[in-house]
Amino acid sequence: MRDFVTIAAHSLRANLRHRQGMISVGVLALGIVPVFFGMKGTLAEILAKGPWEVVGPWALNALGLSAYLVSLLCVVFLGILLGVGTLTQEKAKGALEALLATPIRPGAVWWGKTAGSFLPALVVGIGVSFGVLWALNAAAVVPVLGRPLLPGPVAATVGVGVPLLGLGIAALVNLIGLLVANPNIASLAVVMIVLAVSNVLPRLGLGFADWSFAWANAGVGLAILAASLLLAWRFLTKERIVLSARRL
Amino acid sequence: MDAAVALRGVRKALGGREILRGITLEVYRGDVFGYLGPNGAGKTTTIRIILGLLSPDSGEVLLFGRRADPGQRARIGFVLESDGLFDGLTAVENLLLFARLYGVRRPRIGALLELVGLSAEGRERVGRFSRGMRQRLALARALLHDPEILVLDEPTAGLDPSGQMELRGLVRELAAAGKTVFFSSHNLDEVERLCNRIALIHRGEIRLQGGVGELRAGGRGYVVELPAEPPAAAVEELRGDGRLGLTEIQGRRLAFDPADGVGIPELAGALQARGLEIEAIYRRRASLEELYRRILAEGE
Repeated sequence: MRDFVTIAAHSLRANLRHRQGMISVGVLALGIVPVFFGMKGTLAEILAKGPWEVVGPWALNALGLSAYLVSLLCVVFLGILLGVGTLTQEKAKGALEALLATPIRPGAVWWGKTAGSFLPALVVGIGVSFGVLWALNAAAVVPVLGRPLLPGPVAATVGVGVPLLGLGIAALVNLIGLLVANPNIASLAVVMIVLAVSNVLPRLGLGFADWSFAWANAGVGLAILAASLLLAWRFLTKERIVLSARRL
Repeated sequence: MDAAVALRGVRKALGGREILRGITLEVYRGDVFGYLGPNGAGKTTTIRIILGLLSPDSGEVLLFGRRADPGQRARIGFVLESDGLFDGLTAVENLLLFARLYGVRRPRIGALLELVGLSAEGRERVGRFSRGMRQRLALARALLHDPEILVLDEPTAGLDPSGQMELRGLVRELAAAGKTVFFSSHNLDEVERLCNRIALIHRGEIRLQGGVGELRAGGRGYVVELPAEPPAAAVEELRGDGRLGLTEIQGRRLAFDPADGVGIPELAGALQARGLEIEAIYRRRASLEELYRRILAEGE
């Protein structure tokens, strides 16, 4: 536990200082602004089309989609970008090998690295997602309905579903990053997974403001987490990590 | 006496190639042990096995007579070839990170930074350090938990001459303080100056192992020191006597590689017969370079 906390604190500090971390936050902000303005327009358009009883489900769905996209961008992609940036550098320069030459267990390095990239992404993700929900309400919902909308399933998606998905993906990315020569490949693979998941769930007939959507995301996150644990149990050794490092 | 580090028949193959072919060596307490070999000979693989970063395919690693496990390995401090420092952290933060991993409650960070001459740079990020400063900080990190054994993988590689001298000075101080030092290098001069025992690895096999003095005593021939440079005529006569095997003249010092049956009395007699006074005569000691070249040539 002590080793995990040490590595997590170290990774957190390193990620926040890493230039790629700052660039990632900038890219993220650039991604969120168009999502916000696009959804604000869509929401206003839906609410203007008819009475709440008719357009309500559409409006809730649009609100859910906005929150989902923003939280996915922050929690998942920021987590990947933060983690992979420092991991690549530490592997290439031999710093990871030095960590492993201490009596630390490789699992502590894995979980420490995962926490170091996931926690800042989680904090930013939850903060920004609820912030965007508040802003959408203030700009498009309250002027029409006279009250804000914060459906329980949307809050559950942002507060539980996406964080679990993000944790599963951060764990998988960091695991693959530790075991392959180029951790960027790991992030690319996981981006594909996320895109697939975010495309498949709505096609299953799950609305963005449904409880089932929130739990489906949580379920996928837990499944990825379980798969990562299985992979780690089978493959995560000091030897594999050291031999996969490619020096700059 | 149990060796501080012992490898018994260690074999390791990587990517289908056998890197270590049954390595057996012993490093005793207090040794400054030089681990020599050309690039690709298996030095770093040996070190990674000692540190527990790689597992041997067969054979065993013993530390102080007990099979190496993570607890035993906490008695080792290390400097890796790549220094392994975190660029984004300051010197103090790098040391604190490793102190926590070793469970050191009150790390002597100030004292260690002073020992390696980095007191003034403690709050600077390591990414801005020169190669020499990085290696010195890596050495401070290796000492954080007051280990009994120091494993140094080519610690002077890439350093300028003054950086090399500083690092060698630190290693000498540590050895004098009773640390056992395992020092990998392909710099023969450095090993000859620092180490009391060596092993030479070539193509994954230990080809030579022992005390530096003992190994060098295996040189061929004799050196004769005269009070003054010999006259040219006498030198010509000595050259003409094939049994004496005059191989080298450096001022008043002559080196001979005589035929079998020609010992010190015969050599002294031959010199005196040519009117040469002798100041000293002794067995020629082989340099590590000669031994190294010989071993490598045998392996071809």
